[in-house]
Amino acid sequence: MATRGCVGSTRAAALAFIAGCALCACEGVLLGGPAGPTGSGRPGETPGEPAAGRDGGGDSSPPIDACAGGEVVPTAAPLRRLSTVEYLRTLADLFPGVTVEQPPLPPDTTVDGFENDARSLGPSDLLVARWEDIAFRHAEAVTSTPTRLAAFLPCARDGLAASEARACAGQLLDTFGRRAWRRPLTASERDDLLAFFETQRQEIDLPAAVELTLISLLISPSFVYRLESPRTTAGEALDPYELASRLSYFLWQSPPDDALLDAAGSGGLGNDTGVEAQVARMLEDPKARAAMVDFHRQWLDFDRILRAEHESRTTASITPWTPALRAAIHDEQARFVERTIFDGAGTLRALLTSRDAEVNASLGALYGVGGPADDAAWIAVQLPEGERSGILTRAGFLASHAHAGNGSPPLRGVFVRERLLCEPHAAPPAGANLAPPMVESGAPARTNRDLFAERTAAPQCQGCHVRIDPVGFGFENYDAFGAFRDSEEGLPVDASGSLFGTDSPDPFADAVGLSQRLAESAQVHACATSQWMRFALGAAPGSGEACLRQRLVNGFAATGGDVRALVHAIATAPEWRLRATPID
Amino acid sequence: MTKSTNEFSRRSLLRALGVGAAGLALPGLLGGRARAQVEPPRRVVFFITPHGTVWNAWHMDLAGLGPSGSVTLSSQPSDRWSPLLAPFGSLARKLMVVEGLSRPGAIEYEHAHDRQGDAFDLNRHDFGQAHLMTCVDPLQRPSATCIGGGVSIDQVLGAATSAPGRWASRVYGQGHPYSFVAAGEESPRVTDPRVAYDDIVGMRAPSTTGAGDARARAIRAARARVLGRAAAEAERLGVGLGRLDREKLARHAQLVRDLEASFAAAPGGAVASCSPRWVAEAQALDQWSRVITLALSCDLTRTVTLLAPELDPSQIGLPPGVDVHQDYAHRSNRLQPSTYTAEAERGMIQYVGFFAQRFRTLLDQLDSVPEGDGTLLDHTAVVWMSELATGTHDLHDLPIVVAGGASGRLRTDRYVRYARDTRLAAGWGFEVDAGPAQNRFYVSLMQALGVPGDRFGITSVPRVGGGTMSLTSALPELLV
Repeated sequence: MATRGCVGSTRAAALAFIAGCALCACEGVLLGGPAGPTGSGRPGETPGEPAAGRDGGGDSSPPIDACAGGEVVPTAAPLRRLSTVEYLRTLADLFPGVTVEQPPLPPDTTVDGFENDARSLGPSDLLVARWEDIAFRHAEAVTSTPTRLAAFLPCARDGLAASEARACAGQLLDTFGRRAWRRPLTASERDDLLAFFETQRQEIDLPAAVELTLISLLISPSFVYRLESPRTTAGEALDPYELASRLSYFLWQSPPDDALLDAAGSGGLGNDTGVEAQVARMLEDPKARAAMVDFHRQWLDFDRILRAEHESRTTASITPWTPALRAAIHDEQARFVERTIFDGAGTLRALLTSRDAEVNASLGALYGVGGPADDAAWIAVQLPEGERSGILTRAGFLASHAHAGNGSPPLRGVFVRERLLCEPHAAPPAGANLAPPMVESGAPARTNRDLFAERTAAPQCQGCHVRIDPVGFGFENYDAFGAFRDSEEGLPVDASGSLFGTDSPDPFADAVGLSQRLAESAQVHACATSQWMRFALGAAPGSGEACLRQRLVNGFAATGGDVRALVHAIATAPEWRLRATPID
Repeated sequence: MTKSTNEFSRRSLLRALGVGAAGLALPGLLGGRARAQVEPPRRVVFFITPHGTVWNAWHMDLAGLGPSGSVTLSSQPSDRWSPLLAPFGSLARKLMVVEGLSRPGAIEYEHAHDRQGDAFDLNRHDFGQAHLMTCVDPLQRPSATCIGGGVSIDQVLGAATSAPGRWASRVYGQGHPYSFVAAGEESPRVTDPRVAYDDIVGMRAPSTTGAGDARARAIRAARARVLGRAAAEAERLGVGLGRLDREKLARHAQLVRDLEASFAAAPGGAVASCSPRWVAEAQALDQWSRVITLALSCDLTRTVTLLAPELDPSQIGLPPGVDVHQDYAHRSNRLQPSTYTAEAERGMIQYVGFFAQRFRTLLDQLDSVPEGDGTLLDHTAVVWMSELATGTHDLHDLPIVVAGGASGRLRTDRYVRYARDTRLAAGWGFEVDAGPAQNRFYVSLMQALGVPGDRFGITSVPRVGGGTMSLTSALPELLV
């Protein structure tokens, strides 16, 4: 036999796997996943240690009748530190055109691929030090010469009288300070910073006072956290500036602009019409494109292809595996999402079925279509019919869920189950053989599907793999590069399968058919809704958001899966304008 | 903030010491800057490698040592040293080998959840990693691997022992998360030795624009005051928030105050030696050893966790294409004859042996730095451990090696064996005979480093047949 069983033969491991597989087989579709931590585990007794426990608790789907009463339940909103992406985009907004060398920030702890999970976004010593350093570098960059200072804060000239300097400082706080803290400073905050500014001006000089005041603004918790006061009474509305931040970090991953802050300050966010007008405006802004792409980067794991394990390939394909090709494979994913959502049909269906693409020379060769002369240029093309259909048939997904020598049906299948169908799967048991199966030297050729099918054929494997493999095998027309193939080792490829256990269980012939099934699936649309809610809320939606989720799922279906309409619906939901209950 | 004529940050510590960032030798090679007049600080380094060990090649069969007890290591003839511990023979007087500890909390965790009607992540690698340094139940996350459910021991020790204005702890290396600042929050980790080195020696000079050095010093002093203001603001903003949010802001405030102190702190106390030079040569773990030695010798931190990555088999002379996890680790346990192969055992010995050599290099680095009446190693507890006991995923009979004595607080030159005298229910209907809890080992470390407390993590688990097993209090055999 060419391969070993999927599980090591220790009894404990086998039992673990059986139990684990049985669990995922019985779990079914979890719309939106469980709520935040509920603490079923045992807390430690280390001083100051919070309780540990399972992150979420059970089914949060409400009886539909429970949502009929029109009750508006506020969404959870724990204190959120700016994620690294949000932090860097915020700085870019505040300092347009300013480029400084920055030390690397430690990576955010991800949950289900998302980098903005509020529970996991906390401070650390390294992060605090980096924030201070980065604040210093930016503040220095805009104050280090008279020319730069004048460009940044025109009122900051040499020879200002004390009253003029104070007025100039007030201007800094009222403009830059308002943008940085996403709200006007309170009178006491303003007075305090004015006094600090004046002290520095007297003790050092005016540019230093500007520099140090900027650092004060940028290392303040009002800058690096999104602060919202908890509610004191039921149905209490958010402060309009807090709502503005919710909107901007959801739609832009960056702070409110002046127009949004002005709207907040003038009561423009106090009613449905005002909120909807702002959301519509924001969705037309280029920053919405970047945020939309970044949501998909996290949800669909675009960066996986950048992992070290994908630096090389051990087999050949129709084009060499080069750093340039890998970079193009990575970049294409973002280009495809932006093109589809903003310049194409704009639907989830289109993301799963469109053959529109942008390619450079390397990628054009991989896809077998005419590309530009070099990798610097990208052109729009249509990928071959029958070979490509949406994001799951692009090299970004296919190559990043492959081993060095061939595609991985389990990796590809689990990805679809977890990310597109929101089915939780237990991690492989410790005894599982995760190495790619190989044909033994001298043995007759076999297909990748044949090898994996043998690997997972044992009954103790099938508890999970009965759901994973029929999906993963659907991608057998693509090798480890993501190149199309209809034969392998001289043997015909069989890419048939089914979405067993879903609302679209009919067999399909290949990945084009699979993508079509997914595009038609209500479960996939419900899962995408939950993923968008997670991105907006900074936590998996739970029982408190069940009715909102149900309404959004229905609305998403009614629009034919229009992604921008879904985002608009989340951003304008009444539940999202209410203060949350403090988490104790 | 206290003004000081010696104002500097940890980033400019080396400049304050008058040491340039290039052209100097490794710590110790120039004789260092020993300050014998001050008692050196005690430090701890955790060296964590994957896949446990090969029991037959790790434990030592020593004359006069029964099911429990201890014997002197330095008097053992060379042929009594096991293959995986033999590299440390010449350091026997600075070594403590601890045999027989277990992780009852993790064993009980699996037992408690093996029939859970839910998608618990019970992969022993995953929860072994989450549990190793926290000793509490992992935090389960939907559709994702579990993660640490509480603060880890390195963070506790670091917070309690660091010098004012220095890093409380550092986490270096690659691979899975082990160190956590709180439930669900991995400690910040630096994955590139060069970046870690740059953090230590300073990435850039402080600003000298404008009116020259006096102005730069004034700005630096004011930056510290800015931090003090930010910390006070965080404390103020926490009022009225929910508990989790309030704790997060309180932690933030403390971290900002620590950073503020780094602007004011002057080099004092015991700095063993501080001779930075970046050397990009040798195996990555050896590069980390140099960085760790530098960080400790400069007293930039007193707690470091180094996470060793999985090794490419070809790096260590194993056949290319071999899957160390599947082909070797799972088949390396003689106690499981149905899967055991001699080839796998040999391969795994080679694999763990490679880490033993790297650990020895780290010890040599630390031992090359004179400090006080001894060396940097003498004032440090360097702990080698793994997320599992063996390649077959045991959570008992842990292989733990401690080098250095934490300034004489730990009983070195000993091979300590603990009786496996407590029967615990494990997952899937199994039972195991377990020795004392690793929690107690951590409590021992706490006491050796002068950190008060008699417990870390979960405090008890049920025994088979009734009663409970206590996981609290230090292990007296380990302490002087």
